[in-house]
Amino acid sequence: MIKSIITIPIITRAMQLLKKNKLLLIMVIVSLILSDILFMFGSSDIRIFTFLTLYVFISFLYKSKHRLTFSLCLVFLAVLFAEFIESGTSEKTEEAAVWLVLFLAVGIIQQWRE
Amino acid sequence: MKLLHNPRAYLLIISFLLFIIPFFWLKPGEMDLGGDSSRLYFYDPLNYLKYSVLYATQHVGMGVENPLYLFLPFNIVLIILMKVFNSGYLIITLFNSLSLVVAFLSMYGIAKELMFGKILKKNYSFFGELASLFVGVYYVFSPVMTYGAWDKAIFTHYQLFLNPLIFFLLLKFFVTKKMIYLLFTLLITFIFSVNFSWGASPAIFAFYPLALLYLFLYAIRIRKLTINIKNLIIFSSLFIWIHLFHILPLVFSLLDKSGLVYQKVLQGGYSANPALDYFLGIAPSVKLTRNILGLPQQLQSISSVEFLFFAIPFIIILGLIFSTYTFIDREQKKNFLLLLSIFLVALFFATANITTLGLEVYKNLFAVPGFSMFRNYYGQWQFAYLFFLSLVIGYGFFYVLIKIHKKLLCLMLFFALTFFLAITAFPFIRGDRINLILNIGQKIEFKVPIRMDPAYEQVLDYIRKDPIDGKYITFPLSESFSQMIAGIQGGMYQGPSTIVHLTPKSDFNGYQVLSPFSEVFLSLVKEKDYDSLSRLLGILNIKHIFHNSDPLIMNYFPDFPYQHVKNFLPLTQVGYSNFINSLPVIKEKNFGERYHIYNLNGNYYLPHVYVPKESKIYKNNLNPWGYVKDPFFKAPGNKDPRIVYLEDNKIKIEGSIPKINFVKINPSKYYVKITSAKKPYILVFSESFNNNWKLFLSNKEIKSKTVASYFNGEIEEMTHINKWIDLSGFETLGKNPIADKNHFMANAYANGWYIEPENLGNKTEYTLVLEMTSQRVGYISLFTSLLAITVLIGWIIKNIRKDLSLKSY
Repeated sequence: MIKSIITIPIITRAMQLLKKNKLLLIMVIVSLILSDILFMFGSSDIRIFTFLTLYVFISFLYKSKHRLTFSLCLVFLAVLFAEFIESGTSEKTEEAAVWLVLFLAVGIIQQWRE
Repeated sequence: MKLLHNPRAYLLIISFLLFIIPFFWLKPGEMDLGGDSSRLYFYDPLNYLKYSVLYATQHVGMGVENPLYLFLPFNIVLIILMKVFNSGYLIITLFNSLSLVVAFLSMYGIAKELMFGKILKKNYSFFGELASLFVGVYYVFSPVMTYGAWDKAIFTHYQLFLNPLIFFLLLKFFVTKKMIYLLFTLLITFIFSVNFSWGASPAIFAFYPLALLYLFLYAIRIRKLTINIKNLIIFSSLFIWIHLFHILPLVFSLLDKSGLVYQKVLQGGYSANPALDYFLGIAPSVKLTRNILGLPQQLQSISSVEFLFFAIPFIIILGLIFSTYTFIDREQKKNFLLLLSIFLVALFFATANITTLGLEVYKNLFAVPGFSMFRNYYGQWQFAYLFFLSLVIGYGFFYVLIKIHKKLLCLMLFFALTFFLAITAFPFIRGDRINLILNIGQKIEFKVPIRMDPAYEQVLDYIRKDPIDGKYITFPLSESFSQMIAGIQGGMYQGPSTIVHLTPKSDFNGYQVLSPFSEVFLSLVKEKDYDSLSRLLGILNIKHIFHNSDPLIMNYFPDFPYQHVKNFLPLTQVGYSNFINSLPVIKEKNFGERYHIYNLNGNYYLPHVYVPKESKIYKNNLNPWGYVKDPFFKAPGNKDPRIVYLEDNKIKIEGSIPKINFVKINPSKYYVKITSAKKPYILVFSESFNNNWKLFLSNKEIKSKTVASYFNGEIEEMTHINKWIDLSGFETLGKNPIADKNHFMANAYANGWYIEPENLGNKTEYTLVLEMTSQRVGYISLFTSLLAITVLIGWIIKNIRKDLSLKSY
């Protein structure tokens, strides 16, 4: 079933395009997550799990290592730090903390698989 | 220089420093008593054992069936220590010192065992040692620990050292397969049985399932060890056998509908909905950020340096990244991941607020029977979460050190982090968590540590010797169950009644303890209806009023513990003196200027056991909180207080009533001699109604002397015996109780029996045994556990001898 989908020409071409722009895609996802933390009001599970699924999908596609995920954890920790300094345990800080924990969990699963 | 590179030297130095820290907390003679558990077992362990631990009933207010045998082993250890040191101060200080050292060494031992694993390249052992030391230091100095485990510590706080110690012993068993580790584990669980009882179930279920899961996975998946199932089965069986002395009463209490455990577990006390409401009430205040940083949820003192705790997740993440570049044993990396996985589970349970989905999952867990014990979830999971956090940090630190690789740099980093932790823990090191101020902001502030007033010790001694089996009421009355006693050095005891815990007498010292008469009592005070108030005291078997007239305990405590009651009761000590003098009382004795004992007039006082002359019907109107609404006992003009109030109008008292004399063997057993019982009569025992109070016919004669006579000799109280176990008392085993079908609630709380001459073969003179039958379970289970602990100690000695002979060979 998955194989037949992958062999559809448009899908194949899209996949190739995605593979060529690895860095860009990851940056887009990270930007989306950062904007979710910094600019969106309120926490939304739909946003969180959509972005997370997207990230997991991209990681799977690029066969990226857990090191990348843990490095992104450092980015979220930096955001968490900045938010904490600015506003204590505000809603945004909590959102950054949630992302940090989720990425830690994803990184652990990735490392187990590797 | 050699010393600088020897981490073992640091181990000794840190252990020594930790040991001496608690010696700065209290001044000689002081004790940090009070709080929910009273901690009076540190002050007077012998009397605590005699009057609080040995019986199936607790004499709080009207008395309640609540076996506290689970304190027994720890209490006995404290008695031995008291014999050796003769100082509560020294025992508390040594206990605190050992708690810190054992926690540190256990965490160090665990981390070392995990990090060194099966094989660790020799050139990494220095880093492993440093990281293990850091685990121990972080665990004892982390803000979660220093701010959450020491103030007026109750027994569940002992998990700060018990969790690592038990984990360490089990880990050593899994690794070495030596039975001695399991045997020592059993011995420790016995001494601290209170921490392995149903009272500590949230703490047990928060830590041990995760810890055991980790241990099994570590042993099987990481170390590829075989598990000795046979030894584990022996361990489990022996554990149950040793702990039978509190498990068996628990099972009986669960099976008995009037049992405390049945009522709490199966009759709504721990039902899901209130627990869920409680959980939802506190969940918004628990912040994930603080948990990631390893900060307690309510912390003010170190807020200026809180940001520095970002080093904690930073080290973990760096460790995770570096672990992939470090070519050491693959097992180590897997173990790091396993620990981190378990830590994330603990983090979830300690936080709940991780996405809306996470919160929903948590909410649904409350549908699982028993999960409601985690309604105050942060407090219950924080120790488990801290335990795994410490290990994860240790692992992260280990990989960071390996990456740095230069020993001097590693040492500098270790010292910097340790110094930083010690600085943030400085208020703890200084003793601020022990020297808590109870009334912050008042003109005179009082701290928790107290040096007991010798005059008050005389009061306790006097009450212990009081030959009358009557109850006490303590004024000023508090909101909950807190008694206030000022020390002689500016400290204040604020905790459960010392009369209850250290003397054989019952005491009503708070609004809650007066339940179900709490509201009625206050309204009668407000109405100044002293006659009805005195009748209520009589019905409650209150013989004495203890007045602590010390102005310090009122003037500087405008709120707790007097909030609600202040609207009804006097606001000053002078007001209290006037109020007491308005009651029909006689002053019995003064102890210095502050402590006074009064006696209730014989026209109102009803002995603990009495036969009423008259019965009256009342409607048991309760408000939504279960308090009696109407003062049904109002009887103006009635001179004889021997009235019983019944809900059922079928029972009638006809004609003459018998004479009785009674003797107390212990709080769970009385003998009552009945004479001239020609007609049916009611026997009232002024103790909370409980199905386990039963009457039996006895062949024994009461031979004590009379100490008090009431109502022209119609009721006589004999010299009480106060003996824990009356071997001849097993006479009731196998006997049928008398009038058990006619056992009912009298006076809205007490036990009443309607006894007809036919119940006793138309005898007119006989002796009855009034017995709390659940005490038998206590005796049997205690002796069974005693046998088990003898076997265990024998086994430990045999193992040690075997090890020694092998070594010498």
